[in-house]
Amino acid sequence: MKGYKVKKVFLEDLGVNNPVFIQVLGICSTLAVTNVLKNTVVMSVGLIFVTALSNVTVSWLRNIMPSRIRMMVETLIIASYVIIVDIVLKAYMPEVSRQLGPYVGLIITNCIIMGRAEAFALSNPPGLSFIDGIASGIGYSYVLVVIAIVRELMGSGSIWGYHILGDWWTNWSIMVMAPGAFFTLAIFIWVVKGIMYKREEGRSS
Amino acid sequence: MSEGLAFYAIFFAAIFTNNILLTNYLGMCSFLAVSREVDTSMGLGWAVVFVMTATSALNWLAYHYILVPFDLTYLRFVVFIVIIAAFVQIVEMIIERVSDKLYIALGIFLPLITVNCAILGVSLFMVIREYTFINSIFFGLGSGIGWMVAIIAMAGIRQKMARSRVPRALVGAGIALIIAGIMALAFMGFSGMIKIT
Amino acid sequence: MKKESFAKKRMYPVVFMLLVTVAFISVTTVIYTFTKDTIKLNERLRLKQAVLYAGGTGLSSDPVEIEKAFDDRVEEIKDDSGRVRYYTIREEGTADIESYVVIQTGAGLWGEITAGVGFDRDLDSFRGLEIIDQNETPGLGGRIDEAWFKEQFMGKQPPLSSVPEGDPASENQFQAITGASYSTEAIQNIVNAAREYARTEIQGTE
Repeated sequence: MKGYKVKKVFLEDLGVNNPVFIQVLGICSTLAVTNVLKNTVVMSVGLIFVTALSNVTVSWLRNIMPSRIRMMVETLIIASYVIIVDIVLKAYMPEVSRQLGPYVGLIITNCIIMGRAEAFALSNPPGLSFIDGIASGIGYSYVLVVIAIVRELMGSGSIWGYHILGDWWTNWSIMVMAPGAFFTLAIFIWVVKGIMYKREEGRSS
Repeated sequence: MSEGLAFYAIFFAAIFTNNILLTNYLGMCSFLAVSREVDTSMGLGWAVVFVMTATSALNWLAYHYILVPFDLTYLRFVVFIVIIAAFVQIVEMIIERVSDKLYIALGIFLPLITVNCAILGVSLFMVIREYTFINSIFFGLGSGIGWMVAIIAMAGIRQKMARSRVPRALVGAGIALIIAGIMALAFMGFSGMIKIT
Repeated sequence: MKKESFAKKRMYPVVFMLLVTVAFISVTTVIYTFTKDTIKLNERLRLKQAVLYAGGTGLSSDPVEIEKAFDDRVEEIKDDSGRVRYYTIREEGTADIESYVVIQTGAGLWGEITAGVGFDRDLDSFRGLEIIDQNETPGLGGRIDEAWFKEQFMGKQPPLSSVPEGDPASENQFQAITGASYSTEAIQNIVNAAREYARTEIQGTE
């Protein structure tokens, strides 16, 4: 029973319940760094860490937390974990920290973390909340990583900073700039939802 | 502080060439959720302008007069978010007492604002870019207005498109993102008009 | 009894919030205290690396090598108030000055750009450029921090101007970054200002 539940939570967060393309939540803070794959991955790892741990903490406190100040407490918990991520980056990955600039701090306002804390951790035990945090974090991250790969490849002709495409490739500057992210994400959502609808039709007929 | 970064340049850049929503994607959540009607968007827009300007000033003071002297800058995320949340709460209470009309117009949007990434984003950018107090206020004001302009334009376009036939898989978020992309392209056309040197 | 429950209702959230705040702030403070020195060291190392890179010494980014080279070869020239005016780098194993490095700050698109600019001993050509701090748009203006962009300054002669990315550049020109004209211009101003500074500060004193 328990194993079944864990698996269900995990798969739902990756697929049908994926926060990015179903709810379009939380793209604010991370979309901006998706023009470079490396930054995206670092941000994603930070995000998964914060989501999982804040879920656990909220879940622990869920029975003693006064509901009136619930949001404040959640924000405080999330902010503290983000500070930890920020400090660790500054100390051990100063190069990346410099490039991410203020975006690490913006993990705090990422709607997904707060959303999972509200929707899941408040009504589930810590263990399951941890799984949910990891899964929604990964579900969110892989979408962004795909976007980052597309944007970096087309915009700079490289992946992870290594030049893949030769000199014949003309860089699409637009992919590096802001509109590129909007279009890439829209097309990604289009494809995924299109496949989902096709499957549903296939099942119902 | 170099004399080059004039407050009016920051102000206009924040509205047009470097719109916080269209170039930094901050405040997308409420952007996509609320921007279906022009009236609602306008209400939320004004609330954001007000809160953004005030909190960027408050956070600047807190950062430079409390956090920096006591070497507590690593706590800035917590301090900023608490100041924003507290400010929003206080404003909500004052508006409720003072004016019913204003409360109906702005009050319902205020709770949404605490979790608006753009508000915190402005405070964090202003610190990392080492703006002066005046520059920070104008940066907050400009970013707020820029956000409002974007969300109202978006709402207008979406209202017009209510009866358009959009591919099924693009309905909702998908088409909103494409519109945002085209708007971002249009706003890029402003670059070159304002020069920060 | 009613009063007590009222007090409990009012006080509990406040006390709870206070406890949570204290708990989390203590945790972050502990972590901060442990990493504080590493962060400081990183920043210092970053500056040393920038000076050596801008001086055109061609050293790797290995921290041990940088510390050693900085201690052996670099001298900080300070003014009366202890502020560093510029750095001199000596040739390896000799007392001859190989290059000068000036730390120059200028307005970028969004905030200030701080860069180390290196000159050869006669101050008539650039030895290198290293970006120490910048807030330009990642992937666009942020590309001023990419190796190909910084490397092209080696051997160029002031005053510099820019040509479009990919075009051949003469010895007074450097390649701009497509889509980031402000950041390019900012760098142009910084390197030229650094040259002016070097001419008055370094030549004026020797």
